[in-house]
Amino acid sequence: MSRRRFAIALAISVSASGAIRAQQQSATALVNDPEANAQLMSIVSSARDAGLPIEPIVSKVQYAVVVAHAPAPRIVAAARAIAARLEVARDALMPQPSGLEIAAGADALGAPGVEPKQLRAVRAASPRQSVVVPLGVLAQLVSSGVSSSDATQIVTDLIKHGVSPRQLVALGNDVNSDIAHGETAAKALDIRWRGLNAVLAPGGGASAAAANAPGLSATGPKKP
Amino acid sequence: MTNSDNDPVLRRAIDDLRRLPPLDPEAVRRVVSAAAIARVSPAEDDDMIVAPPSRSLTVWAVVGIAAAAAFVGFALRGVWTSHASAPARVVASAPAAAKLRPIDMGSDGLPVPQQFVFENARAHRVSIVGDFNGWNAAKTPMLHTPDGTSWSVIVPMLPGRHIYGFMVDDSIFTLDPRAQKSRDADLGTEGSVVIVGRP
Repeated sequence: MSRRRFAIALAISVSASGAIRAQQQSATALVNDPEANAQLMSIVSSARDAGLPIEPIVSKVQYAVVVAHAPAPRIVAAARAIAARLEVARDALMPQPSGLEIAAGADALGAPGVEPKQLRAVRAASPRQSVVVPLGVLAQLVSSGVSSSDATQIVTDLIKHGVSPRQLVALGNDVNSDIAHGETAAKALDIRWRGLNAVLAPGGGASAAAANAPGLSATGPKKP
Repeated sequence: MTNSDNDPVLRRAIDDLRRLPPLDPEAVRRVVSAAAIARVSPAEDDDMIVAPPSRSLTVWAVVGIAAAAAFVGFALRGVWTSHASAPARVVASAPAAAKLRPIDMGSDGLPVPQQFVFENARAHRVSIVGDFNGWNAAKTPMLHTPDGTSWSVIVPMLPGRHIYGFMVDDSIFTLDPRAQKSRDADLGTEGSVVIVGRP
């Protein structure tokens, strides 16, 4: 490591703790309730001490104040809930999840029907690569009405077949766009999956993967 | 005078290291003992390349020892803290930890530019707010397009799923009609969604 890089790394590490403290204080300062403020500080401090990323908690508080105009007790409850999801996500994404992955996992756990087992499945499909984008796609598919099991199946299958994060995002966006235009979630997922399947490498396991995915087929949507 | 005396970056690094918390003498002793045990005896040929230690090397040796001792100090402090206040955590055993390999985060840490457009001819000011800017309307104002009908901004965003909206005239939160939506799990309110892929 060059001297300059060493000095920069050192400066960053020295200033990081101050930045985190400032972030923590700026978020809790938004809440005009001393008791709630103390509770929020305690939640953030506990999360930090447990090695969890605190940005999602701070962001939740900021969102609750600025956009949702939530009362103080609700803000505290929301902060506590996201802190709990961060811990669950960290455990589900073991062995060495990054802060971004833990945050993405907690976000996905907030989608209806997404459970730790779905996070574990995504991690198992991608043990050496980041799962930030796959978890984001999973969360949004589920938020749009795709069942959590179908969404998990398709995301993990795509990962296993080497689909790039960009392709994953495109699939998620396309499915959601179709749903927004009146398509059912299952049919939108099936149509877009087949479209992606057509451009994947021939001879790959993509077709088999699609055939195995619940509610999906490589040849066309199943009738309900 | 050596390079290290003239180099302000190095001087700063040394000064910063000197400001670290007090060291545990016992920890330092353990580090030094471990280093002495692990030290490999130099080969006989090494005599040929032994040179008198320069002042620069001495400074770096001091820096190295200080860094190692500080690391041990921080590590011990972390152990004590986790025992004292942190909730129960699963600590990987040494053999298990040895098997761990870092996950390739690729370019997850690199922001990707995303363009946002919002049509509103009557607004006086429009900002984009989201989890990427602390929901702060002052941070990312949008620019009026020349025809006066729309607002636009390009925001560097980290890969992943982000929730956002537009703040019209500093007070009215508006969803992006072009984007997907998501309901907040804890507060029940809706936000617009963008999923950013890795470059």
